[in-house]
Amino acid sequence: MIKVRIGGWAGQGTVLAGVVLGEALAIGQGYEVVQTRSYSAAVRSGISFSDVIADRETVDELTIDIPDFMIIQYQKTLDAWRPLVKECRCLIIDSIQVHDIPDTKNLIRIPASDIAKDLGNTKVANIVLLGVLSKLLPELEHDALKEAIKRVVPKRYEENNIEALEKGYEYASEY
Amino acid sequence: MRAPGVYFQEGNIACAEGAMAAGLGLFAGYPITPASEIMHHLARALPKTGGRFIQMEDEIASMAAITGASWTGLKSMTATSGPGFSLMTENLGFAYMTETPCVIVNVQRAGPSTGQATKPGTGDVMQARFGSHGDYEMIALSPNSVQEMFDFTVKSFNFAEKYRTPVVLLADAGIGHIREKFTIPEKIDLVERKRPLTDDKEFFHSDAEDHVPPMPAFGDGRELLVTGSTHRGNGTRDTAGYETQDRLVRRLKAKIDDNRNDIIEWEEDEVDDAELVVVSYGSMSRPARGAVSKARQSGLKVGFFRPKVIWPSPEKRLRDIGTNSKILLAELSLRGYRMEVERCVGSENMHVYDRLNSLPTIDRIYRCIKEVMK
Repeated sequence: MIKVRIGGWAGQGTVLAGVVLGEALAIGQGYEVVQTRSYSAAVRSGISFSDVIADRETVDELTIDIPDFMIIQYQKTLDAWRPLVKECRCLIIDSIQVHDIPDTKNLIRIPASDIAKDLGNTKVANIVLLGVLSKLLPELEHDALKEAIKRVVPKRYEENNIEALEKGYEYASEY
Repeated sequence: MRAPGVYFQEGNIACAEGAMAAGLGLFAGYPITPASEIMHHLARALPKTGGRFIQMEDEIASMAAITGASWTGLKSMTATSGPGFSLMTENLGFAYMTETPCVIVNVQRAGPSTGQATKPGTGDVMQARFGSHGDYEMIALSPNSVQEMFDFTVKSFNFAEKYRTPVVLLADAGIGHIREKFTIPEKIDLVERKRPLTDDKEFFHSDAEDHVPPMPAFGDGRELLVTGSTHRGNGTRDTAGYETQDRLVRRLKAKIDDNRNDIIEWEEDEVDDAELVVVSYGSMSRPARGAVSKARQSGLKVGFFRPKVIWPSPEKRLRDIGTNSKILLAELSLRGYRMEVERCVGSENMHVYDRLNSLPTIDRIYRCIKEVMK
């Protein structure tokens, strides 16, 4: 079973990253996938997160207790899940948004927001982080993610998002 | 409207697609979390199929609009959540009394009142059954996957048309807001309402075995009166007569009761030799089913039972199961289905795992199973 949690602040594309990841695993790779989203009732602002659970058999687990991977896009999200930090296999952190980073070995810092800014679109930081995940999670096929982006993201942002994915992947390869 | 195929989508979108696949002619609604995606999707997609979409001023008007639309011969639907469903119940009663086929989707959230808009709950199960006043029977379905959000929406329309009655699709935020794979099949079996023959004069009485009268539409050119007051077979009011009231209300009840075997449906697994059977429905039934599998693997004699049609309830089967096994009801509310299950299996035989606000993990329910079986 694959268990990934992506967490951020409203507007960071947290849920979209979950949808892209779920689409890649479900439609691209034939997994059974459950993707959930959680957000506050506030119109704008608040912590939002998305869980992706995938397996070769029916997935009846609709909520994650301990994720294998946590992608963290915002300081308050990390603060909320601090107890899970040492238990998960790996944390992938946007080091531009998160400053108080725990002293633990199971994490990878990436200046995803700056990389996204260099690509001309700060909104693609979420996909930079997915690029890192595609390097670290052996079951996840990089090409399936690319295809998922093409199906999910509006056409005019497609190229930008694929570039972001590649940048994240490269960064993790050299880390 | 999507072509047949496999999609990775949210439950609410699957519901909207199911409605269009069933031939939805009019959607009227008012947005509310966690049901709004159904409306958003239909606002874009339904007009392209030739259907009509209206955002109404509130839920009272939404229910009125779909009732009226149904009498023009269209298949009609609205979608809401608890607070909106409360507003709809008065007009819903009118639709039961006038035998108006339509579908009401309630994507339940944590209540009472405004509660927690984005959090799941199943506290509206009894409201769906008894929310309107007077004697009536009704049909409600409880999906537990994105696929079932599609399939059960189609099924809701089919029941509505077949039995000429409103049908409630009683979903919850746990299913409305998750994404999974679902398939839109090439061929979908649809039921259409019984239409009157030229000589038919009675549209509110039937001696047929199924108790369902034929339904004309405004514009057919017939004399037609539709009223929530007690009415004779030809639709005229009789607000005091014993026989008219007795014949009408008993038939409305019999229409669902006598067709119960055609309506009720459940999923069960390894119930026959079980010492404990976990009963669950809606999104909670997913981790509950996972917990039963885990308990079985660890050698515990546990079975699983899930009503897919929640009203009318599968009371006979529940009684049978309760005779031989202990029952653990797992649900996302304190009172959701509890009284009905207790009525069938007896309180001395029944244990409850109730939870509010969010779904538990499989492990959490598994621990509860072990506790009950000690």
